[in-house]
This record gives sequence, C-alpha cells and structure tokens, in this order.
Amino acid sequence: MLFPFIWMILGSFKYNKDVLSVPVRLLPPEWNFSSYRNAFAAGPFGRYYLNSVIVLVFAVIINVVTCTTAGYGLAKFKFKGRDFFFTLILSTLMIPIQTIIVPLFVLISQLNMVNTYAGIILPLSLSGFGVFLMRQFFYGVPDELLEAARIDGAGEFYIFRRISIPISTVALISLTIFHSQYVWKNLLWPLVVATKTDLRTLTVGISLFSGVFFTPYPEQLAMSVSACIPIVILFMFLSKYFIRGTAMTGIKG
Amino acid sequence: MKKRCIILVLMILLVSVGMLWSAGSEEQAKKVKLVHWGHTQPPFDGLIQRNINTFMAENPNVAVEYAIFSDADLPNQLLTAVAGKSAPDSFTIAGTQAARFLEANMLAKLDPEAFGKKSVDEVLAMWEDGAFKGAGGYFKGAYYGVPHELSNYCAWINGAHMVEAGLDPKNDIPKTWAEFTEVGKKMTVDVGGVRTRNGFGVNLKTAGFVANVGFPLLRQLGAGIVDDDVTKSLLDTPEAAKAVTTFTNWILKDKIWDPGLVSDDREGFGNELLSMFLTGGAWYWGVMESQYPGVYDDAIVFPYPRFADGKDLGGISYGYSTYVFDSSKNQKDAWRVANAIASTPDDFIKEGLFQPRKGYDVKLAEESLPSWDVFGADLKKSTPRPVTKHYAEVIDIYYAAITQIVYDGVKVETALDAAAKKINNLLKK
Amino acid sequence: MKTKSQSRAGYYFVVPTVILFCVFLIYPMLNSFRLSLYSWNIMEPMQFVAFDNFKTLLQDQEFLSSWGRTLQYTLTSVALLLVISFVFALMLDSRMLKARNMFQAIYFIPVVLVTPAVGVVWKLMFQTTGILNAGIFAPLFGATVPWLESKNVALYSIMMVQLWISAGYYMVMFIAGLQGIPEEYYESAVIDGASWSKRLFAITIPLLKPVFLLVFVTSVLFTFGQFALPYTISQGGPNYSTELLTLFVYRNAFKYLKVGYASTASIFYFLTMIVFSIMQIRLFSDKKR
Repeated sequence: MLFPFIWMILGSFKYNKDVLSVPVRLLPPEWNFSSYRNAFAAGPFGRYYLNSVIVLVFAVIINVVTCTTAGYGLAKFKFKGRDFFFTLILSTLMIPIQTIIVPLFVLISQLNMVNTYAGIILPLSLSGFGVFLMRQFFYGVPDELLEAARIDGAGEFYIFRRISIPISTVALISLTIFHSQYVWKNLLWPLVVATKTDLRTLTVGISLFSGVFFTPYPEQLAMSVSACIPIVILFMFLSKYFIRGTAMTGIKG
Repeated sequence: MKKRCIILVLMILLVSVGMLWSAGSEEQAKKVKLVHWGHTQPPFDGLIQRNINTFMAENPNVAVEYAIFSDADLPNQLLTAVAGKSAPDSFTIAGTQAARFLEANMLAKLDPEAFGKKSVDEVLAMWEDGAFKGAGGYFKGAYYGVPHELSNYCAWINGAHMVEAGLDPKNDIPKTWAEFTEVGKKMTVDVGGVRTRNGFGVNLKTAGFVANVGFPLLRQLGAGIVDDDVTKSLLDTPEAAKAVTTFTNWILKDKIWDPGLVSDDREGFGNELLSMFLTGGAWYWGVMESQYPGVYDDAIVFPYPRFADGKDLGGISYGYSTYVFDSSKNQKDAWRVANAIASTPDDFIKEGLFQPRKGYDVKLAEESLPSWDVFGADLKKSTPRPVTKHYAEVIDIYYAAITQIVYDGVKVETALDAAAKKINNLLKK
Repeated sequence: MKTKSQSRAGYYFVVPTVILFCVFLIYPMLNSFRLSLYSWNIMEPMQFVAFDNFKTLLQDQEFLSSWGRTLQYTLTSVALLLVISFVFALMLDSRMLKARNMFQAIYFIPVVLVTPAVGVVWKLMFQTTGILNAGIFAPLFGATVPWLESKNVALYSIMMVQLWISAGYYMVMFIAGLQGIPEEYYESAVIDGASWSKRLFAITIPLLKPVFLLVFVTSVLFTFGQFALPYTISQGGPNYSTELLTLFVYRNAFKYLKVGYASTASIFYFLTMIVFSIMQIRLFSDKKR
C-alpha cells in the first residue's frame, strides 16, 4: 500500500539518471542529498509553502463555518425552500471543474480578485459534500436537547454556539480533514487564478518542475515528499478523532 | 447574533486581507508596472531574471514582474488571462503557439523607438537574417516578436553504441532513412525478450513531437500534414502514405522502437535507453552537460537523413519569440523589456540556447554548441512548420492517425484518409 | 412547537452559505450553460450558434466514446472501490489488530498525496522497464505488462492508481460505520452459533446499507469527475483510450479554444449526473431523511 510512497521518497534521493535507470533499482546506487536543497532553491518554495498554508487555513475556516451553519439550518429547521436550497447546494457536486473554470475566472476578475488571496480561497472554501456531512450529523442530534434550551428562553444563535457546536467538535474535525486534503491538493484553481509568483501554492510549484528539455525528477520528488509531510502528520495526529467524527455524522443511519 | 457578527467580521477581514495583500506589492504606485510571462527551463529562467534586473536598475521608474509557467500550460494560462482581462504585457512563447493570437489581432507590432531605432528594418538588422521569420515573429507583412530562441532539430546518435554494434562512428552515420533503419536495428538490444535499448525513439505520448518528426518526413516526399497555404491537407496522397509507413514501421515492422521502454526521447537518449533520436536542437548539449554527463562525450550530431528520391530538407526549425499584447497599456516599455531580455545572447549560448542576435560570440557558439556547423547547415534547409490558429487541433488529428496505425492496427492509407478529411473539414470553417 | 422565529432563524443559518454557493458556483455554472449556445474562442467575441454545438456533439465520435468510456470506467471503479474499501475497513477495524490507528493512517496516506507527485511516481513505475514489470511481473510471469502502452490496459492502469488513492478515503467511512454497530449484536450472534460469514452477511452488511449508499453516491460523483490524475499520467492516451469526459472538455476548451463546444459537453456531463441522482433516489427510496 505504501510502496509507491516509499518509491517516491527513495527517488528523491537519487540522481536524475538513476531514477530512470534500466534495470530499475529500488535503492539509490549513490545517495543524492542535494536534491532537497536544489528543490528549495529552484523557486521561492518557502513562499509557496506559506501560501498553501494560508489558503488552507482560511479555506478550511470558511468551509467549517459555512457547512456547519448551513447543515444545522437544513437539518434542524423547517422553512419554505429548505429542500430547494439543499438540492441547489448538492447540484454543485455535479459540475465538472473544467467547465466553470473559465466563467469563474471571468467572474473573479470582474470582482477584481485575480491574484489575491481572497480570489484563491473563496471558491475553494465551498463544499457541497461538507454541507451534506454536517446536515447528516445534525440530524443525529436529538431535538429534545435544543427544545429544552428553547424552553429556557435561549435564542437560536445562543443554542447554536453553546450547544450544537460543542457537540459537533468531532464531526468538525472530520470535516476539516476531508476538506483539507481537497484544498491542499488542489492544482487547477490556484494555477489559473494566481499567476503572480509570490501567490503560488505548493502544488502549482511542484507541477512547474516539468521543464521542456528535461524534468529534474529528484527535485520534483523531493518537493513532493515535503508537500506531503505536513498533511500526513496532521492526519496521523487527528486520525483517532477523524474516524470517530465521521462515525458521528450519522453515517450508520 | 454574535455568530452572525463573527461570520461577517471574518468575511470582511478576508476580503480586506486579500486586497491588501495584492495592493501591498504595488507600494510604488508611481512606477510603471509591467508583467512578463515565460516558460520555465533552468538555467535560462535565472538568465532572464538577471537581464530584467539589469533593466530595472537602469530604468528605476519601471517595475517588471517575471512569472514562469510550465511550457505546456503557458498558452492556456495566457488564454484564461485574456478572458479575465489580466493578460501580461509581454510574454515569450513558441511561434506556433503565437499563431492564434496573431490571427486574432491581439499582438502589438514592433515599435522601433523602443529599440532606439527609427524604422523596423533597422531593428531587423540587429538580428541575423531570417531570424524573425524563423522564430515566429513575422505575420502577414508585419513584425510582432523579438527572437528569443532559434533552433532546429538534427539527428543524434550515440557513438559508443555504434562501436558496440560493430559500426564505425565516422563512416557509418546514416544518410538515408533506409540506412537509418539498418543502423537502428544493429543498435537495438533485447535481453531475454525484454527490450532494454531502442535503436530509436520519439515521444509517442504527445502530439507535438510526433508531428515534429512527421513534418520533415512528409515534406521530403512532397506531401505534408497541410499544404503551404494551410488550406487543405496533403495526407491522402501516396507520398504521405510512404512517409508515414516509414515512421510507423520503426515500431511495427523493423522493431527498432518499443514505445513502452521510455516515453521522453530526450530523457531516453540521455539515459542510454535510445541510441538515436530526432528531436534535439543545439541546446541538448547543455542538457547533457548538466543532466546526463555520461553521454556527452559519445553523442554525435548528424543531419536528418533524407529519402533517396526525396527533397533535400532537414529537421524542423522553430523559435520562441517575445511578443507584446496590444491590450498592454505600456507597449513601448514592454518592447524595451523584450529587447533587454534578448540583449545578452552570449549568456544563453553558453548554456546551450542559441539566440540569433548579431554580435554574438561565434567562437563561444562553436565551443558551447559542438557541431554548430551541422546545425547551421541544416538550419538553412530546415522544414518550416505551418502557422495557423488551428495548429493544436491539426497536429492532434495527425497524431490520432499515427496512434491508430501503431496501436489499433489500422491501415496507413485508411488512417491518413480519415485524418485528411477531418483536417479539411476543420480548415473549411 | 415551531414558531415563526424558528423558521426565520433557519433562513439565517442557511442563506449566507447559499449566497456564496450561488455566486461562486451556481452563477458560473449557469454561465457556462449559456456558453453552449455560442461559439467562443476567448479571443474574439462570441458568436451565437443556437443548437449547432449540440448537433455536432451528438455526432462527434470522440465525445460519444469518451462519454461511454467514462460511464463504464465509473461503474467498474465504483464497484471495485466498494468492495476494496469495505474489505480494508473490515481488516483494519478488527478488534484484534494492534496499532489500529497507525494502520488506518497508513492506508489514508495515498489520499493526501499531491496529484502531480502521484502522477510522476506511477508514470515511472508503469514504464515497461519500471519497477512493476521488472520487480514483479517479469520474474513471476515472464512477460511485461504494457501498462500505459496498450489501449486495452491503460484505462485499467489509471483505475488502479485511482483505487490506490481513494480506497483509504472510503475505508474511513466504512470504519466509522462499523464502529457504530453495537457489540451486542455480534455477541448474541456468536452465542447463537453464527459463523463469521453469517455474521457478516446477516448483521454487518444490512446495517451498513446507508454507508454503502453514501460511498456509492460520493464515489460515482468524484470518479465521474476525475481530471487531475488521468491528465497527469496519460494525457488521455494512448489513442484517447483514457480520455474521460473531463479530459474531453478540457481539451476542447483549452487546446482547441472551442469553449462553447466544451460547455455543451459539460451539459451532458451534468445531465448524466442528474439522471444518476434521480435513479439513485428511486432505487434506494431515500435513505437520507
């Protein structure tokens, strides 16, 4: 299962000619330790890292806020148009990204948000799947809990803040992880909307390694490995909560 | 209530941060801001940046931002930028990719004043004869691009493999395609039924390279993917069939080329997985020096083989030029940037990229680009590529025909006839 | 009791998000639908062509085969995915497995790997002399597999990579579901003398129906919309055998500058997904409340 990952790590320590060597060898015949240094020097990768993190943090925050509020509202309240709204949100899952790329880009430029962090973050922070997950979760929260608070005279937002959110912490972690990997890996949107070098994200930076005349594989692999490490670590720490959280989204029905 | 406020505050915070961030880089509001886009290939990126820095030092009121993109993505990115009205001022792309912009009237004509000259002819005289046309800067009577690179493909062979196969690197260099095939057969190596070395290979995964090798083969026999005026296809001719059969036989009949061994032929040659390849320009010396030093000493350049009864045409010539968008608000300054980027031909030549600007150090060229005489000679007889906004689609159709022949066992004539029909349909629109 | 203010509160919770969705997703989507009635190459003004794009598209062999291929690919992938991720979940949720968390994390790692990286690694592994052939197939079977060279095999190679990437993702959902089944059910079944497979088919699978449904629906949506992976690994080749619908749209929009035409294709994409959703709701009579 992990074999390709291991291959990737070992590849980053090879020299370019050994990556493609015939017969293929797993371990590097000579260890190339400069690939990481070269990779970081090839472009402002520190900056790319920073950008990826900034985009990730903000996109996830917005995602959590929007999905939780919408999921809660859709699950716990009855109002006209509720089902319509839910269908609307779900329908966004059925659009291929390439189709909306050009109109979305035109829209973003009309809003003067090209080459801004906001322009990258906002479209990436929306997730119909996330709304669905949170709605599922909130269905599982007993109405009586909320009713009791209402009888006590609490306002809706108070209930939301003081009761619903704390209960949903674990589900929120799950949502965070699902959405994080989506944002972190995203290539197409940041590629299109952020053409300024100092706004680029890590994934875009890695794809830039494919040169016309040759591709420096060790450096590209080195950068790929470093791109994976943070999110792997994040996941390893949160995995316990991740699974539990997913369970609590009422998946078992 | 509080929640709503928090959400609202967060939103405002975000939008303002975003705007601030982009505004931050424009502190020097009085400066003229220019943006230049190019494709990435180390070490040339650094050289371009250096020239831009020099330009900025000499012109303190101009700030130039240089953004790099992968060669494959750059044309698409330019398009999206045009659609979103965020196109750069100047950009460097291949002549064939510029065709679509030229045909849509989106590029600015050369401005002699930016080069310190009074007429366009004087600007042309700053470069070698034919440089502008070869590099893609000429279109329908006017000039639009500053040459950035002018290259042509020659054939490459690994001398050490030749010796291994009992051939003489001096006398056994193939001159005709028939000889080429024979030499290829001798250098192909199979171990236990598994191909370990191809006599020859081309990148069969992309339409571009397949077409680049196809152009000379077809043109040498008087056929072509399209005719000179790009009005119809010449693939449905017996000459075209002969040319394409020669090509596809390398895989199917002669078996000197197993596409599965390696895809990228430049990498393949460097890693000794191929003994010959046809898509290398003079810049390949620089690539070998930095990436595949083991092959550097064994590599031999020779002119493209010809057909025994065909025209005397060499491999394709192509070029990259720096263009300026007509939508740019600072065209004159953009042209000055273009001039600055192309003003140090020796730096690029040293790294293996030939820039045809007059005044380059000929001796340096000969040193850094061994076999420069071979390249120069074939450059004069090189096969030009068609200039059309349909370029991408046309070569995709040709490529589809080739892959059908190779992978699906379709007959050559059938595939080519179908391709010709499709191309004709396309060009009619 | 549902008061008026409660309904209003519902609006407050939902509407801001809906607005964001409308602005950044729905509006561009509608715009691109509109584009299908035009011919546009981005650089020149649009030209209204009404339904010409639709007529051409339905006769375009490349489109039809791409569509069919994507359907076939999706259904096969999803079927395999359901089985594989479920099996993984069973394996890794077993109370007997020590360091469960670590294993689960390991199986999830492929999910978070960046796509260009995955593409590069697998492309290298798929080469005829790559590690898959040289290390496994040649020694064991004496033949090499033309992973990305044969139009019959290439699509399955991509499918293989896709399964490798996503199995962990859906496995997590199954594990979550498994953990929701009370121990007592199994315990009483064991007391009744039920065998392991009986327990699986009588208790586990029926109780996990909602999870299967969720995984099924989600994976169909995501698999049908696959782009980055096939684009990086095979660019649609060889011979368009791995060209999924998203690649077709991308090629026509960005390479050939037929934005209107590409939008028409995406309408068919959207319609396919809608039909699928309706079918799914009918067939499974809305398990979601």
